[in-house]
Amino acid sequence: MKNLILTLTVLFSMIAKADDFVESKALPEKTACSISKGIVNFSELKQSYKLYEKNAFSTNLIKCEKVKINDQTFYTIMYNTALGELGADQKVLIYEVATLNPLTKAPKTVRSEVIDQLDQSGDSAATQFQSSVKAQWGASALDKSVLLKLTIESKNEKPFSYQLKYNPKSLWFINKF
Amino acid sequence: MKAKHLITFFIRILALQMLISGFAFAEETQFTFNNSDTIILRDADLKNPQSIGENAVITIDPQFLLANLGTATPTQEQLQRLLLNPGEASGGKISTQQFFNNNSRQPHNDYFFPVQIKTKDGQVKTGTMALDSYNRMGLLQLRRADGQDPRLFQSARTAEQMDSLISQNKTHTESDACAECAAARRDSTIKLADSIREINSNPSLAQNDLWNRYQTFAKNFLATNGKSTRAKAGTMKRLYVKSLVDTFGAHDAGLILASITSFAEAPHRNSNSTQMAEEAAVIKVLFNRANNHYRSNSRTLDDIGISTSADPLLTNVLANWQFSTWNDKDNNLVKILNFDPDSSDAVTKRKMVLAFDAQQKITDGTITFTGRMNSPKMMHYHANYVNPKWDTNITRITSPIVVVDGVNVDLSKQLGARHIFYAGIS
Repeated sequence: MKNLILTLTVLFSMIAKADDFVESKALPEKTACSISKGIVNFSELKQSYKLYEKNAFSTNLIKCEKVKINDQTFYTIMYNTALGELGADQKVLIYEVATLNPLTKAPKTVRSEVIDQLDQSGDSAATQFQSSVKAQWGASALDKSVLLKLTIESKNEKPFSYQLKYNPKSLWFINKF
Repeated sequence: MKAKHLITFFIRILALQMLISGFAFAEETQFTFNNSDTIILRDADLKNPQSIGENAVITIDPQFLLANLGTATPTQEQLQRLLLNPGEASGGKISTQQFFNNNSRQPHNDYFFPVQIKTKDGQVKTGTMALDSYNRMGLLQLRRADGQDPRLFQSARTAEQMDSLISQNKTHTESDACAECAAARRDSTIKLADSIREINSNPSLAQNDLWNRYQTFAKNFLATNGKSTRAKAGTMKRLYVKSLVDTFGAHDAGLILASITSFAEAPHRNSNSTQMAEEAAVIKVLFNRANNHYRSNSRTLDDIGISTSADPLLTNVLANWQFSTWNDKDNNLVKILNFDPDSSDAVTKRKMVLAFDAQQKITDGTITFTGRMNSPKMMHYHANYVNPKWDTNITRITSPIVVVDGVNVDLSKQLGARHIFYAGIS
């Protein structure tokens, strides 16, 4: 009996853990922003901040959005860029999230996710990114923390979804396993 | 009556021709590949690159194989080793050629092969391809004659015979194990069975606790989380690193990841001591970076809530954009996450075992480094097919010598030498 209760508790906690993502009714909306020499400017913020990838060059902005979850606004940028730090250039597609640091009130990157990369060093063929990302914002049904569900889609593979949980102490989105 | 004889004669000739062409096709299928992604075919001058769709069948020109490998009909294993390191496998006959990528002003170097390609829609095209480049990226799949998993390039029969010889502890060579292939073998390609036998009887490996424990971990991780794909790789890597740190602690996780980095980065070598020397040089770079606290940022560690000050080796292995193996979408990363010691092919497993052994031997002092390779500032290297801006005559190490069990191995003198090492780059 004791074992059965233990098993059921573990099972329920596993189910709860897997299902605690509640999608927000507030959807991300487009907002104006620009990137120049690794500096990001969201028009409404009137403050700039540095991209997480400090060695990025030849940066192309794809999309800027903002979303309000639990009274906190998150700013997202999708961009592609080249990185020369390896000696061999990499072209990468990145989804970056920023929010205002509650103490300094300055914008700060809270996650930088590599969605796809193209290796430029060898005679590799891919000249265009194969993957894209779909972002769903929400909150945990268990502890109300902000959750971000990302789904990577590519033409050769099955879509893959995973969740990130916002840690307000470290000001970073941590992978949720 | 004469006409009837003549017709019969022609039919026989036709049948003979069909038989011959049938045999020729059978020979060719030994060395055809399926590509799992888009590939680039260039002209003979390495210009005019054109993209070829996925699932094309690629055949290397048999004359090229005969001239450079000594046989037009190599075994799958010979072919795999040719693709892993064309310079070494061809005895230095195949060398790199310079080419330019689209929209690139910077030249690159790679090994090119004359090939014929049959596309999915039946078109046949000829040209040149950097096959080893695609092999490194895991985009080419060798087709096995017996229809089994194409990643397992060693024929089941050869593997069985070799295992049998190893278990009987007989001093046979690979030629004995595969008698019908003996004529096609050359000196540079007969060492694998000896190398594997040597590993099996190596006491230091039997006592390599970290390798033994890692094998159990890798099997469990794969069984619990399933196979990775390129889309999953970034997330699976984070789970893998977190599980490693939870299981082994940050220090040993750093040692394991350093060994695995060297496995992925070092070029393939037939001799065990040379293979270990190549892997040890990469590990030495990592140890130096850790000792100098060269990098202190790691997106991977941040993303799983592990402090970057937990272990400097762990942080430097996983530092952003430093070792391509750990990039979120790298094909080598997918291979590492999917490594199963029980079902891995012999060549891959051997290289992995030797990486752990090299790390152990550096720690216990049986692998050492001479000259500037021993410098604590030896913290950079790159493959000879890229041209980084930090390549200067001052910092480049001209005699990269690693001493394995008292024997000097000069990495720059190896056929198909790939890595160039540097000391003193800030």
